[in-house]
Amino acid sequence: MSSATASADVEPEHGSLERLRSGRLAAGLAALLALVLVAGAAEVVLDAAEGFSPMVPAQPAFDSWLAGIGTRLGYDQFLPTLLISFAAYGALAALAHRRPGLLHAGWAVAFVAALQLILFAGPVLLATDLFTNVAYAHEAVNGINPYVHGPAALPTFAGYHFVSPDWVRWPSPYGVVFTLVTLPAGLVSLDGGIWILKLEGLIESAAVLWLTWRCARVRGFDPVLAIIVVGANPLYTLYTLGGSHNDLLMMAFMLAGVALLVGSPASAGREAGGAATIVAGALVKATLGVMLPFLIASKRRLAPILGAVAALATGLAVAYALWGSSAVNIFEGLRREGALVSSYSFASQLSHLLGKPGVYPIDHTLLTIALVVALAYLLWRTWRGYDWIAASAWGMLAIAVTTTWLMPWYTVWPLPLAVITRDRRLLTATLVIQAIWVIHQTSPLYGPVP
Amino acid sequence: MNELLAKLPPWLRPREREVENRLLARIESAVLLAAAVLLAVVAFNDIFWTVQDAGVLVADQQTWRHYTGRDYFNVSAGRLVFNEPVDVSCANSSPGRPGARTQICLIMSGPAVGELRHVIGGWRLAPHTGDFARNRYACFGAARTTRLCPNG
Repeated sequence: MSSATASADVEPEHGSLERLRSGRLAAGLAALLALVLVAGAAEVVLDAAEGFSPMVPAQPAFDSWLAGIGTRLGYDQFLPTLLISFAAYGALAALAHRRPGLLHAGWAVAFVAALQLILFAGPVLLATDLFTNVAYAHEAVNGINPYVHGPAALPTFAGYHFVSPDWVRWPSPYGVVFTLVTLPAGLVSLDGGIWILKLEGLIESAAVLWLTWRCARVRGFDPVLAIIVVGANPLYTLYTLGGSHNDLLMMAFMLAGVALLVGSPASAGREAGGAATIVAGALVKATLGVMLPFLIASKRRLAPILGAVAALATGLAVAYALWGSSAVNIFEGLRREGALVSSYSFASQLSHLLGKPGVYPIDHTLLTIALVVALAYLLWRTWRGYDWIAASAWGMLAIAVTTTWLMPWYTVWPLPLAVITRDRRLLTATLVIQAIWVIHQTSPLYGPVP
Repeated sequence: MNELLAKLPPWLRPREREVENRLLARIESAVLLAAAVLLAVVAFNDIFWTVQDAGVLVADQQTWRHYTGRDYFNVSAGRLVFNEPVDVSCANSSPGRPGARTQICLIMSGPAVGELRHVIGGWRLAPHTGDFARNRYACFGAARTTRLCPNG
């Protein structure tokens, strides 16, 4: 009896010691995983600064102070780093999810900020889109309509040679808000323009993370977990921020709209403002328009419709006044891109499984039907009370899976929404899609590169 | 408006809050799982496909260098007919920018043996011309017996 009492007296102390030890172990593991992510990002940036490679597009030496430290970024360096970073990210997110409160808010913010700054300091990674966007800005400033002419209309522009040959004849597929935001890049030299767009990317990323934090707190989720899941995601950091893609601006508008709509007190003004902000994001990239039907089906009030219509009318009026009717057709870019096929897309991979060399027009039709069915189902669910934010994120994920022109940064769209919704399947599905995509990317590691 | 909505069939009436439906959630989860498995299968199949293809294309380049006795870096290699193991590999006949000299193109088939494939035919192309049937000349082997070289 006495020994049993003694044992009972000791056990809580022993238990708390165990908890303390395992808490320290978990904190140590989290720090290690964060270090792996920071080291991975630093390695990619320093190696990329060594110059042109399959992962680093040809570009002016605007960040030459980083040169001479790393080695050229080949598949052998980048792909293992991507795999390890993604695994470390998954483990860190799982740890933060299982142990709420383990990560100190200040620590998490500093860690995510460090990742963003490392990518900001380095060269342009994994895509030439930034140079195309600087070229569009120079066109607009020089009186050439970027919605009619591609960068080939301004061959004297110093950055012309850094634009991918695939895009030199393509007019801008982006909306008027993006063109206006990037105009300052057309007023300065090429190097200055690159830095302006990189700085804009950094500010947009900071906005995305701050708004993710804010929305998570308002909706009763752990904001630390939310910014870790978004801000430490390797497809967000290396690809989206590394290439300063306008998806960051689109997501910033998306989250600003959501922040207005979930904030309290709810009012018609907030609903109209939230819808208008989402439309502003759709005037960066029309894809964001997918949120509006879910918002309207959920609210079933006039205010968001009026807000959306007013914002759209204003945006299109400005676009028409500045660049004429070709700037008004916001779906033209989607239509053109929708006809393209990237080897990254699941549609392309599925066609290979079926023994076909690529995606045929009938496949485009079938994929469009699948997307429409998925969106219609989500709309019905939203009408019946399902969370419109989750439905929007599922819609974006469905677009990423069914598009024949999948880019890695498209898989990032639903991520900030997935961390502020109760449907945990959404976050799991988004991360599974990303994991499959990352594994598919590693094929050059397993065979010779011709 | 509300009166109008109330006339809708029960499954179509709007709701402020969702009513839990476990069966629907299970069906959705099953569909999502099936989709994830399908995407994983297509991705892994594609990796296998890409790796296998890359190995064959490297053998094509090696074969071109071995057959022509020219150790050039820029040797193109690609499939001649999809889903058939027949490839075509082209490169300059003398040093220069890719495509700037007369091109020698070889058709290869069969498995790679010792990193080399079996050359079954070929043709030449004038400088700065694309590999289209009308541009091919000095054809030999399988290229002559098929419709690959209309000009001989």
